[in-house]
Amino acid sequence: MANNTRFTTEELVGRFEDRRDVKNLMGKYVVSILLKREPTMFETFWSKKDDICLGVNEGYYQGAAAIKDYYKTIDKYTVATRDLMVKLFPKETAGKTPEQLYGIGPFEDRSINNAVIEIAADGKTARGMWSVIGNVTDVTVRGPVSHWVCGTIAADLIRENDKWKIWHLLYLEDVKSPTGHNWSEGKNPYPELPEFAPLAAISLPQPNVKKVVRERYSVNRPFTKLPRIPEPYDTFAETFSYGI
Amino acid sequence: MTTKIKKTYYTEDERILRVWDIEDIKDLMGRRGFYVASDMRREELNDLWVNSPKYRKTASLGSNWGYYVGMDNISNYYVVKHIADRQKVLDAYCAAHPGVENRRENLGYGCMSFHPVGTPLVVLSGDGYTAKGNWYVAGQDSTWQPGGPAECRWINDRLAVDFVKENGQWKIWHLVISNDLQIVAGEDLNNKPTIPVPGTDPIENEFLAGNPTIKMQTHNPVMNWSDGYPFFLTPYFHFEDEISYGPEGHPNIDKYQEK
Repeated sequence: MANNTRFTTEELVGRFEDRRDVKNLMGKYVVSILLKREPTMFETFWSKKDDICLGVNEGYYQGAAAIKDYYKTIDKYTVATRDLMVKLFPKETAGKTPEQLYGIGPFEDRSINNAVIEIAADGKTARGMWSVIGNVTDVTVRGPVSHWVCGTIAADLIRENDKWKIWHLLYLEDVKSPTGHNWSEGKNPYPELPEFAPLAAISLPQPNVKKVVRERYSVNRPFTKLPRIPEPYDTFAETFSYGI
Repeated sequence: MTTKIKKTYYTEDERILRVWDIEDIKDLMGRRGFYVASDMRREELNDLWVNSPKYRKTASLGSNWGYYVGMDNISNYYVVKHIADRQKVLDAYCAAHPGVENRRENLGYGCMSFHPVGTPLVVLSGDGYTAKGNWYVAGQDSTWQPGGPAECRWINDRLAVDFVKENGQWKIWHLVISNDLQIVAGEDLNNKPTIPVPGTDPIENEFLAGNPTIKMQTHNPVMNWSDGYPFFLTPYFHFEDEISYGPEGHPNIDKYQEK
C-alpha cells in the first residue's frame, strides 16, 4: 500500500476522486459491453496514444486500427444477429425500427469486483485489476447459448484532458462454458442449427500480435498465475505495463 | 457489545486519511483475492497478514467449524496442508500423464481457485488503530481428479475480517470464511439434500482435516441462519475481544471453553 502521509490533504482528496473515477470508468466499460455500445466504445474510452493495445487470451490488438476493427466486427455481428432475429421472430419484432432492435439476442454481463487500484504518485497514470464473473449469452451458429464467465481485467490508464482513458487493457478469460455443465469438460453440447448458419460468415479478427497470453482453464492446464497485481508507484516509467 | 462509539471530531487531515484507510483495506482484500487465485498462500500470509509477535500469536483463520489460532497453526493448515493436498493431486495426475514431471512447479495441474470479493462493508475504529470488514464471495474451485472431468464447484462465502495497522500498513488479523453454499457445477441446486448427510461436505472435511485449534460450530448455514455469525459490523471506537472475529468474540466461546 502507498504511504498516504506523503501527500497533502488536497492531494489525497484529488487522489480519492481519481480512484473513484477509475472505478467508474471500468464500470462504464463493462456496462457498455452489456448495452452493445461497441460503435462508440473506442472514442469513449481509449487514449490517443500510439501504443494502445487490447490484450485477450490469444494475443493483442495493437494500435488504434486493430482495436477499432475489433469493435467494428462486434458491431457487424450485432447487426447480423438483429437481422436474423427479425427473420426468425417476425411477430415479436414487428413494429420496431432496426435501431430499436439493435442488440436483440445477446446478453453480456461481465460484472467486475475484487478491485485493486493504484494511482501514480505523479497523478498522470493509474492502473487497476479486477475479477470478472458473469453470464454471457451469445447468439451463435448453435442458436443462443448461455455461458458462465470467469476472468480478469487489468488496465493501465492515462489522464488526457483531465479525463481517464484506457491505455492498455487485458481481458483474460479462464472460463467461458455453457451453463448447466461442468466447465472443465470444455464441450459445447449443443448442435449447430441451420437457421443460425448465416452467423458463421462473421468472426472476430485475429489479434495482430499473436501470442498465448493466457490459456483458458482445462483439466490439463498447468497451474497458471494471474497477471501481476498493481503495486504503488511514482511514475509509469518505473513500473511494469499491462501492454506489450 | 460493550464497546461504545463516542462522538468523535476529526480534523480535515484526519478525515481524508481515514477515507484512505478504508480504501487501502478494500485494496488489501482485493489483493488477497488475487493471491488466492494465483495460489500464493505463503506469500499471502507473509505480505498481507500480521507480522509482529503480539498479533501473530492471536491471529486466527475461522470457518463454520472452528478456528486455527496463531500464525504457525494457520500456516500449517493454510499452506503446508494445502501443498500436501495439491501434491496428492499431482501424484495422481503424473501417474495418469507420464509426460508431466512430478515436481513442485507443476503443483496445481488442472486446478483453479477463483474467490473474488465483492459487496464490501468496512468500518474503521474511532481510534484509527483497527478496522473490521465484511465481504461476499461468489466464486469457484476446480480440482483435477482422475478418470473424468475436474471436480468443479460454485462456492458462496461470507468473509468477516479484523485488521490492524503495523508500521503504517493494514494487515489481516482475524479472518472468518463462512461458507453459505457449495454446489457441483452442472448440478441442480433444487436437488441438493435439504439436510446434508453428515461427513459429506467437502469444505467442512477439508477444514477439519487440518486439526483446527478450536473445533466448534460457529455458524450453521443449514438450519440456523439467525445465529447471525459472523455478525454484522457496527461502528466502534476501540477494539475489544467481544467484537473480535477471532474465537474470543464468538458468543458461544465460553461454552466451548467450559468443556
